[in-house]
Amino acid sequence: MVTDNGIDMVVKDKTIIQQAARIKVKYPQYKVTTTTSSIVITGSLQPTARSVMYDFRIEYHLYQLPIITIAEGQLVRNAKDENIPHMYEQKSLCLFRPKYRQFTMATLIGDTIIPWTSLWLFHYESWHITGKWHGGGEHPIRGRN
Amino acid sequence: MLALENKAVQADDLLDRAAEEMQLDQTRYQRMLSAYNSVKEWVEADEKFFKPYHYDVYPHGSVRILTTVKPIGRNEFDLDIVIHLRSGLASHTPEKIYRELKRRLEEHETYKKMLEPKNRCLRLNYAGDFHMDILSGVQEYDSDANRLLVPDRELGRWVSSNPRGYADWFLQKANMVEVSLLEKALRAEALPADDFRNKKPLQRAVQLVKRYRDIYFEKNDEYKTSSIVLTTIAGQFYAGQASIFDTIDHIVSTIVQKVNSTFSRIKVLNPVNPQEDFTDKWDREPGYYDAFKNFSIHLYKQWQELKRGQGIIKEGAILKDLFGDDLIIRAQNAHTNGIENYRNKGSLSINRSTGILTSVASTLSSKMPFNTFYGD
Repeated sequence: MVTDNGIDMVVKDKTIIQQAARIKVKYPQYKVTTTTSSIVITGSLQPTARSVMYDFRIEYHLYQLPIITIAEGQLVRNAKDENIPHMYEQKSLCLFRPKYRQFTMATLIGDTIIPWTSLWLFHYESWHITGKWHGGGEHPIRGRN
Repeated sequence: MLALENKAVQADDLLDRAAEEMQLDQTRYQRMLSAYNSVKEWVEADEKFFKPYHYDVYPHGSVRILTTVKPIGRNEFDLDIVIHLRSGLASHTPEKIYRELKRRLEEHETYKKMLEPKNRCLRLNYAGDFHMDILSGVQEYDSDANRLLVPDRELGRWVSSNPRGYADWFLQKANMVEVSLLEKALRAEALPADDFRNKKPLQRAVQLVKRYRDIYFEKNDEYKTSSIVLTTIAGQFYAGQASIFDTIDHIVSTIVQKVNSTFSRIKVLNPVNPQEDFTDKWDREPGYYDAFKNFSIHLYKQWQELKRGQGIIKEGAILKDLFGDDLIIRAQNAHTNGIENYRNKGSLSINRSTGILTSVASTLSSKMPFNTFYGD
């Protein structure tokens, strides 16, 4: 689709400015720092009323996948000393499967990554109590994404 | 989903589910009812002794006051029933009615094999399901339809008993709160109240404390505190709290305050017969009182930890320690499945100012888009 002014609207990739603006409107309490090609969002949230507050950090560079981390020490292995499910190398959260294009350059972080972070934390806590990950998801087969 | 953004409601929701998990289920309750009606009919049809009398047959104990708890490690619930003769006191010895009831039950091919005589009652064992303790007695006064005399075989005499009056007392205490915290939250969201949601906080608190008692004394039950003591003390100290959490907090805090401040031991008197001290053996065997104190102090300390709000993971560990892993896991599973249902229907949101998941969409919330968790 091409509009009157000739801009191709099929490509709706979001600029860093658009990403930052969305956060400022929807989540004014979060801290945002940007460069022309990257954005870092930090803040804290809790998935349930009975949860502690988790400090998160979202780092996103255009043309790359966002990296979502929780402050050092706030995520712990369970009583059986098992790995925390759905993480990349026990360092960052795996919130979506890139192949399914649930997050693309056209997606707003504020509308996806942040809600998913809360949902991930909910299931992380539930995993601690029940021993099972009830949030569904898929696991990588080596060499694919 | 029930008031996900309200911490107190969420804590009670979990406690409520945990209590629900361990109580008598509907199907077994129906089986108990039918067994109880059969026994009633069998006794009523007895030509040799029972037929001419007017009497009531009714359940008492935890089934009547809705505080049943499934025992750990075995599958049988207790069903306590009373066969209450309204007259005839003048003509019978204590032994007589007990013996007549035993005789009548032994005339039944099936009951005969299930019968186990106890001190004050006759027990029918419905193996793997429940056992029915049948207390038989004669009404003590015409003017009081609840009090009856029951034979105590060890003492060889009548003792006064008032199981129906006790149940009325307990239920009246439980009803001190008109609308519980959970009921209020359900109404606010116009959610239908499941049957189990109708339990009052005191009933839930007694179930949970009884389960904690079963776990606390699991390895060494020599001085295990009895259910009647726990139920009575809970009823006596309850002050109308609207939440299960606050009910347990208040009861156990009161117990600890009293055991620490009284020079002599605390007594738990029968509320409908103050001559009867449910804890009279605490004098003869102080081990019972010491065990009760330590049991109460442990619960008190753990409850103080819960009040600090250290997050659901730490709280989960404390609750598992108190009430057993299984119960808390099942309660949490039910909660998590509820959230997943909302997620799958596309009706889950987050409150943007806190991050809390909610099923109530508003201008302050954002929808949860669909995602597939990935990674190792």
